Amino acid sequence: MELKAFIRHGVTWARWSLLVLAAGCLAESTDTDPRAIELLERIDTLYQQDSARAIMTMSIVTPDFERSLSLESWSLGLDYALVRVLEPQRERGVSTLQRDNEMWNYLPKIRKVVKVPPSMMMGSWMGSDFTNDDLMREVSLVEEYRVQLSETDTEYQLDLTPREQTVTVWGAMEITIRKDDLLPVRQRYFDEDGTLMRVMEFSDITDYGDITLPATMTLTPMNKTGHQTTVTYQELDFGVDLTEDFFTLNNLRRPF
Amino acid sequence: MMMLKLAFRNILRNRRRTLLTVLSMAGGYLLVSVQLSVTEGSYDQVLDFYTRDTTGHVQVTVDGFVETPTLYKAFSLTDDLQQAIDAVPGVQATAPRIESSALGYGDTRSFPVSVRGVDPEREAALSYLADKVSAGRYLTSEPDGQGYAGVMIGAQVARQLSLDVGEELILVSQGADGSLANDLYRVQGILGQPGDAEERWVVMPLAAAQSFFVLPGEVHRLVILGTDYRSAPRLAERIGEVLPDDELSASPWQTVAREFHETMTADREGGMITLYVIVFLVCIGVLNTVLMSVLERTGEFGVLKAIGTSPARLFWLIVLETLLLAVIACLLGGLLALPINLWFTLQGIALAEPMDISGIVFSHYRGQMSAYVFGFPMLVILIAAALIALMPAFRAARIVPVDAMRTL
Amino acid sequence: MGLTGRLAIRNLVRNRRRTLLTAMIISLSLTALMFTDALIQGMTDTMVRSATRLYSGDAQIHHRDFLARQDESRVIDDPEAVLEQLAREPEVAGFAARTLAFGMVSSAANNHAVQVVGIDPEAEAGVSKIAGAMIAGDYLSEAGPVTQLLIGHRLAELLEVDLGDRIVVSVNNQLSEAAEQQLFRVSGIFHLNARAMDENLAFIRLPEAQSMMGLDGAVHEIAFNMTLASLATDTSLGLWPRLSNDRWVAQGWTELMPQLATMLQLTNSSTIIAGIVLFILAGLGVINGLFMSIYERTYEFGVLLAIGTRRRQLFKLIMTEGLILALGAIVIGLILGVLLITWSASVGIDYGSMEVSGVALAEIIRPQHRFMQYSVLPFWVLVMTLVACIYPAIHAARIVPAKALHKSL
Repeated sequence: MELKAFIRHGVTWARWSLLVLAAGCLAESTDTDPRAIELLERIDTLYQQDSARAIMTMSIVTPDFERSLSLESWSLGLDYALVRVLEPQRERGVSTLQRDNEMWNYLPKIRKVVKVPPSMMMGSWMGSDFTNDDLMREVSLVEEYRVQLSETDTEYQLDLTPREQTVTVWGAMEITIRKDDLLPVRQRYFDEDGTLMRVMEFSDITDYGDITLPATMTLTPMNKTGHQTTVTYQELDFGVDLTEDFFTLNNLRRPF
Repeated sequence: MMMLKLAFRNILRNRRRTLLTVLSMAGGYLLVSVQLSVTEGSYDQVLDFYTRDTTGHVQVTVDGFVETPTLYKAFSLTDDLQQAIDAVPGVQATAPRIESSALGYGDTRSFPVSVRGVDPEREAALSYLADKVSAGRYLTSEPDGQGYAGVMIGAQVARQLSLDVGEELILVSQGADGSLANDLYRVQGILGQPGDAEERWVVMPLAAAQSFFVLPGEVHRLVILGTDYRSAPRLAERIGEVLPDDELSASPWQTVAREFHETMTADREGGMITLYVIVFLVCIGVLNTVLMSVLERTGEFGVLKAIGTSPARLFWLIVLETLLLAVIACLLGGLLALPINLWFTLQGIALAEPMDISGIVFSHYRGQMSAYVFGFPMLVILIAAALIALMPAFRAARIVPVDAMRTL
Repeated sequence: MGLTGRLAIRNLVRNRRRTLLTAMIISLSLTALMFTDALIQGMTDTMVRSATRLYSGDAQIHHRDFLARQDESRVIDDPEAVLEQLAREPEVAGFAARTLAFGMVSSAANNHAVQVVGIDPEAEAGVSKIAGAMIAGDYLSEAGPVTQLLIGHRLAELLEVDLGDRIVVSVNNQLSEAAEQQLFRVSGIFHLNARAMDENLAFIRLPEAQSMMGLDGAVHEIAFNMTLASLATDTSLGLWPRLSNDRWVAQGWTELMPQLATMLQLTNSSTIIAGIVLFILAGLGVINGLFMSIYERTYEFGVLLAIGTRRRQLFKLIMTEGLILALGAIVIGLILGVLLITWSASVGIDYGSMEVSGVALAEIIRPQHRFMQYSVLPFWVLVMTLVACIYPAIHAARIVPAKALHKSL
């Protein structure tokens, strides 16, 4: 799941889990396909109003270097996000702003705002295994993917395949969810030949106020050895009072 | 010795024929020599320029950097290492370089650029970078009044980002530690014209590049200049011996610029064909003469054989005569070729418009004075002469005295 | 000419070996000249064709400010008018409109910066060689799905994709000034045998490109070929001003790639030098041969002169011998030359991947026949032979009979 999507999903998992629990007696039924769609639909519509603020650490491992960042982020729905680097000191204040399809970086050392050109969109964000594109792309799962639900004793598995028109490089995705707490365990990304390309693992279940979520997600690309990016949430706050006006270039520059 | 005297006397007997034959061979020698001179001169120019301008004669890099350059394959250039390399016999000059890419920003536009960190003084002494400045001035190591490091930018960078001398350039990239590299620079000069090899470069002082890319004390390449680009492989070997660990390697320019080297070699070999055609034509003309001279003296040879001269002797006599002609021809040709090649070497013919081959500017046809240019044609003509003489000599040796003397 | 001619022929036939050898020099010189010229022509042609006929076209039309910075906002906003004009020009053989965008293609495995070109498949086939360079899948077609995408085989390797795989293409939208991303599927893979193109070009259909870039029917480039590639070098043609106006300009490849033009000039002057060299050599050889023949017949000439033959007649005799020899040799040389050129043209000469002035010699070089090889070259060889004959002939004519008759031994 993309970084931003994960923040949004924090809310949706909570609600979905309630729904599924409520309908738990029906879980025995083999015909879960239409229900899966219905659930995803609900998830999508629930996205729009959500705003969130988070503090997290991102640690990046590559064969050439290892580093750790501390980040603060705000997001509003699918279209607006602002991420700020708190640490390390050298990069404190570096920020990324997303508005719809456009993306800017603020560089405090030189006090300049630069726009990210389309050719850089697939470039990695801050050296991690997440791309600028991951950060920016809005995903409406129901509209863009077909879903099939299957299950084992302990887990649900959602198999997603993109529709013909969906703009994505992935041929398929697999989301594995634990039955007992309805929290995601892992998400796997495949190319069209069915080759596993990257894996996102979820762990460290933590309470954030009235929401319980995995605090850590680890992204491991399968086609590059020795690479891994891990994001861990320290603070997560939903329902923060944010409007579109927060996500401006002025705000991007503002020292804090 | 007597054979030599005989041979000499024989060729002097028919002056006109000797003269014409010698002229033919001398002409061939002259043409081959001049052609070689101009060709070698051209290649020499190109290779000398290219190695000084781009790769240097030898480079010290991390193993594998030459084939696949990446930001991370940098090595620490310690004082000890520098001194050890400087002490290697044949090393004339060295210059360190850092190379990677970045996104350059002008006012609003962005453009991908190729960043190079160099030591301004050492680079100016080794390559032609200082000559490429088309606006502003050459790079200095000191930052400007506001603390911004100075850079020289390529013509395309200047155009795409609408930057002029004195304006600010923003660079964004990734550091070797994964951090977001970003900084502001002052444009001190512009390099070349759009379309040049340097058009996308941003050249900054080494220290600035090391700081930008987070490579403290490290470089990607140490470029080394020896005395001659031809002796690069040997120099590379000698340098390789003083390198401390297995991770570093010293590569001659032939390895660093493999494709260029292969292209040049192929081109040169193609040019040799013309040479061989010329020599072939000369041979045919000379064959005529030699045969003639043998046939003419059939009677004489018959008498010689009758009084006991061995066939082998006759054979060698003919061969010797021809070789003698060849030697004289080469000397004559050499005398004529000397001033012509000299003129080419010193003066050359200017091309109507300077030409660009793989990034090298080629403005004059120049010649070359070398043992090769004078010696190789001589060798070829001597061998050709010997080969030509074989058939007629063989015939002379097989003369039947009785039949031969009938023609008298 | 009757008696002189017959005497000449008989003299030539008398000493076959010498005649043959002298004739060989002449004919081989001619062959060498013909072949060198054919090779140069073939090389020039390959260079030009690699540069223009492969993809870029003999000439192109752009907005006047486009080329300086490859500025995608500088468009030809009324391409229809230009295309109509091109259709009316008799010297134009094929033309096609294109949009050009600097963007990114991404696959599940990798991504790469490329130039994304929007083309009109049918028109494009009349200008560039892409349609014929497909090694997998199909060329773009009007009828197929909108997601059609052509990439080079090197790019396919880099992205680790095959036919049918998903590719996300991102370019800059000129209207919204934002990145625009669309899904495409690899419908064809091409091999142009030019590394830069096989690695950095991607083709999609023009309407799709225009909508992604926010161009309302506008294009960046109109490329066209002439009926003869050499016409593009003629800047005096009326079509250049007819196809240009204050907003856009039509330019031939000599203007678009001036360094290539210089390269060609250079090779042309090399040919001339090579030719001169060969002439001189052949001339020397002929003089040599002829002198031999005269020398051998000194006695005979002495007798002829003694019995009253005019010196001028003797001169004419020698010249006629030379002429007949030359004619015969030229015929042989021509035949040999034609054979050699035809053979080498069918086999082809492969220079590998040499790059000159940024143009890769993508094709095999095939030496070419040219009319001047059969007319001009033999003519000059004939002249050279005759000139070479003059000195020996004069010498023969000035023989002093008394001295000549001494040389009976």
